[in-house]
Amino acid sequence: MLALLEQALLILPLILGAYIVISLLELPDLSLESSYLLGAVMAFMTKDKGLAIMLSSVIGGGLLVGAFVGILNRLFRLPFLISAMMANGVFYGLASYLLQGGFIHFEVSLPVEEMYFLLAVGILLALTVLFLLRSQLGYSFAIYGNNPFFFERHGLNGSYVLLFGLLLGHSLAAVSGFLFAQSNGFVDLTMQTGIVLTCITAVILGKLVTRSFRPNILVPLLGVVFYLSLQQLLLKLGLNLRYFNAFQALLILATLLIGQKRYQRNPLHLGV
Amino acid sequence: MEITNLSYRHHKKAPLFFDGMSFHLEKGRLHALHGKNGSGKTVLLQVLYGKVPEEAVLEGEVTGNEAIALVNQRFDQMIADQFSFEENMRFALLPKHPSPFSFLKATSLYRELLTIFSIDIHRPVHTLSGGQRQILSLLMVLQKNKKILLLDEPTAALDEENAKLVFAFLQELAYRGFTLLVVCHDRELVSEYATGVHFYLDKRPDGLRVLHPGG
Repeated sequence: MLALLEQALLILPLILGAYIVISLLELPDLSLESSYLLGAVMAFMTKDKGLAIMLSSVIGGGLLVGAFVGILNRLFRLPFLISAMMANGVFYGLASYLLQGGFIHFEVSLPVEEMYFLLAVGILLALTVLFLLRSQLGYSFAIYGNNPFFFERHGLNGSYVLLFGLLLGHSLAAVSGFLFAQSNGFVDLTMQTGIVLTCITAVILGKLVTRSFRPNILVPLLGVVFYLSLQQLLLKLGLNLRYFNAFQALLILATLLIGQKRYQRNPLHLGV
Repeated sequence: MEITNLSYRHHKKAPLFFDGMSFHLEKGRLHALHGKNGSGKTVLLQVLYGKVPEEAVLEGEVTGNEAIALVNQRFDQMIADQFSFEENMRFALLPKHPSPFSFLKATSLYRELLTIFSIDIHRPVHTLSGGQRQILSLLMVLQKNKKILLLDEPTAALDEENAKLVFAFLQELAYRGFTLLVVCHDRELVSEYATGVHFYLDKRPDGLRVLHPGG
C-alpha cells in the first residue's frame, strides 16, 4: 500500500501539469516528456548544491521547455504539435549533452524521510493548483481550451493565458521527473518514454469518473488513483506490464470513440 | 453620436473612400445601414468604432462615441459554449490579464430581458439556439458598460426565426436607451424592427462612397 502511495505521489505533479496543459488548454503537448526528463537532468546537475537550488533548477528546466514551446507557437506561429516535437528534439539533445551518458546513478539527501517529503510536495502542489483552478486564470485555461478566439474577441491577452498554463504545467512535469529520479536513484535518457500516454490515460479516467469539464482538482487526483488501480488490477489479472502502454493506447482510443458518439454535438469537448 | 465632415482614405495615395460625410445617430434608436457588397459598410463601422489601419488617412470629427462596441457576425467566437449562460456573463468581466489570485466577479444579469426571451441562464450555452447565443454575446459586450453598439450582420448565420429573435432583442435594447446601428441585408426584417434612420451606402463610379439617410 505504501509503495502504491509512493507511486501516486511520484506521478501526481505530472498529472496536475498534464491536466492544465492537455485537458484544460486542450493542447497536444508531447513536450511534457522533455520537461519530465529535464527536471531529472537538472536535479542531477545540481545534486551537490543543496535542495533549494536543486528544486529551483528543476522548476527552471520545466519553465525553459514551457517557454520554448510557447514561443515557437505564439511568436513564430508554428502549429502546436510541431512546436512540441521541436522542443522534444532540442531538449533531448540538451539532456544527452548534459548527462554524457544514457543512464546515470545519483543520490539526493532529503531533509526528511522520503515519504514525508513526497507527501509534503504532493499536498503543497495539489493545494496550489486547487486554488489556481478556482481563480480567474484557472477558468481562463478552460475557456482557452473551449474557444481560443474568446480572448481576442474580448480584447484580452490569450497568449498570456496560454504561456502561463504552459509554464505551470511544464514546471509540474519537471518536478515529477525529479521525484522519479531521486526515488529510483538514477537518471535515464529514456525515462520519459510513454509519459504522455500516462498523462492522457490518467486525465481521461479522471474525467470519466468526475464527468466535469469545469476546472476541477478532482480530475487529476482521481485520475492518478484510478490509473494506478487499473494498473494493479491488470497486474493481478496477469497482464505483463511490458504491454501496459499498448493497453493504455487502446483504452484512450475506446474512450475517444465512445465519447465522440455520445457527444456528437460537441465532440471536441471530451477535453483531451 | 455625431459624425461631422468625415473623410477617409485607405492610405495617403488612395482615392477618397468617404468625403465630407455627416450624420447623427439618435440615442435610444435602432438604426439600419444598407448597401450592396463592397459599398463600404464594414469600413464605415470600423471608422466609427475607431479601428482603422495605421496607414489610413482620417479627417473630420466623431463625437459621443466613448462607450462604443463593434460586434461582428462571428458571435460564436465570443462565447465559451461548454459553460452556462451565467458563467459566460461572468467571463465577460475578465481583465486583460486574468489573475491567479482573484476570482470571477459577480455580474448584473439583465434578468428582466432574459425572462422576456425565455433564456435559462443555467443551461450550457451549446444547448441554446443560435439566436439565444447571439443575445448572450451582445449581453457580454454590454457588461463592459457600452452604450452604443455597431453590429455587422448579426443575423447572417441565423435562420429566420432566430434572426427575428435577435432583432426583437435589439429593439428592446433601443427601448432601454442603447443606440444601435445594424448592418443587415434583410430589408423586411429591418423594416419590422428598426426604430431609427435607415442609411443607404452607395458606391459611385469614381469609387467614392456616399451615404443617403432614408426613412
